[in-house]
Amino acid sequence: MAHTPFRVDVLTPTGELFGGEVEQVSTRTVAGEIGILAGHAPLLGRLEPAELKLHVSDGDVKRYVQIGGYVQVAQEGNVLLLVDEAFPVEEYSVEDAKQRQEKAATRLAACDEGTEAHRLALAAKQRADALVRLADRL
Amino acid sequence: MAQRDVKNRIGSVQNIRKITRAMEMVSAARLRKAEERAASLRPYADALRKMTRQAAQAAGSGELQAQPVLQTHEQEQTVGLLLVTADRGLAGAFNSQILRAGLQRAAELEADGKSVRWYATGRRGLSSLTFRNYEVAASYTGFTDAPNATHAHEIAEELVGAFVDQQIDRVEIIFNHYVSPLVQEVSRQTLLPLSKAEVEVEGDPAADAAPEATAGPKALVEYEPDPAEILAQLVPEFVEVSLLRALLESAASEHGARMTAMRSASDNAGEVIDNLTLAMNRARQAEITQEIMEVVAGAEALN
Repeated sequence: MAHTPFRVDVLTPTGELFGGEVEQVSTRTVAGEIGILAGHAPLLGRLEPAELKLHVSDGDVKRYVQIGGYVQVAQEGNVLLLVDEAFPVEEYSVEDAKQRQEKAATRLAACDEGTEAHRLALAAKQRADALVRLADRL
Repeated sequence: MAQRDVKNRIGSVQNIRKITRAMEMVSAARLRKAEERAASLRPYADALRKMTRQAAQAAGSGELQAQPVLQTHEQEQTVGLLLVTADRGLAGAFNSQILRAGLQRAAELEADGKSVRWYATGRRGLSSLTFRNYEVAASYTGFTDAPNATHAHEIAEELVGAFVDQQIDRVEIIFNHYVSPLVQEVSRQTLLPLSKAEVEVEGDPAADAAPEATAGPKALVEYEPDPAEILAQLVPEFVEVSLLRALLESAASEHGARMTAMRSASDNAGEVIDNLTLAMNRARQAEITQEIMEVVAGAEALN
């Protein structure tokens, strides 16, 4: 079933990952899984580590892994995703994710509780955990 | 110098020229890539600014000003200095001018009664600082010729954490600002507290003037999580963007500096080869003259 296409731009700090018309975007924000179709209500949300799917057409789905970032649905219906880090789904590896998790855990252990450094390290650890969990869902 | 020695030296200088030529070409190729990467950060930063404006408006007035990374600390006791250098040398004054500027700045700060906390990216900066017995709070190496967002993220979190926890009251970053492939300028920028200008949308008066007035009725915007929380996460991203910009510019500068350094090395090698060839010809001529004189002298002795 074809949906009305709408404009989506996916930007990363090192370049544009995707720019064009799609029928649906599925991703995950802090509030949970979200699917965006044409005419979605305006939205501004924080992204969590998850799979990012861009349904260009029925047979053509672009799949990426996002680490974090923001999604914005503008009043005009254009969708903008700012992702701090993203890569094609094929490049995902559990080993890399586990390595990141370990690094985050060491960093967290080195911080005193109650400090900003601790809060940031904890967030990084949670992101790394989510990334490892993603292995079962891809 | 004997003919053979000169010939050997010419050979080794020719080899060196081959290497410096190759390095020059490699740097030229990498420079182009680094330039592209530096340019592609702009749309991201602009989009981030617009999102921040939206979140700031939704969060209500004062929320943006209240962000901890925008706060100037009342007493500035410790200043963090981040030196952005390269992992490798052979790039002319690229690394040494950063170090010189850093040490000079540190002397100024210490004269003001402040203490300095060192941070470094790039092996060159780290090793120079440790060689001079400075304690480096954190260092980041292994990526200076092609930095990415992950590296900037790691550094930014460390600095923001230390800043918000009041361990450092200010962070300055010293890096090679990219002007052109031939020109790099040492530039010092205050990274924290973040300047408000960095967060605000530049030169977009139409968007600033009452955006609510445009269009007809507007649907209510959903926020996940609430605007204040999004804002609190968005604003530190600018530290990351500024940092990444500095890292990318430094990378482009590094390749430019190395390209220039290698080009002059190649030119110099050519000159050395010319001089040595002259010296060799002279030595050969001297040898021949010597031999002729010996033959003539021998013939004269027979007569």
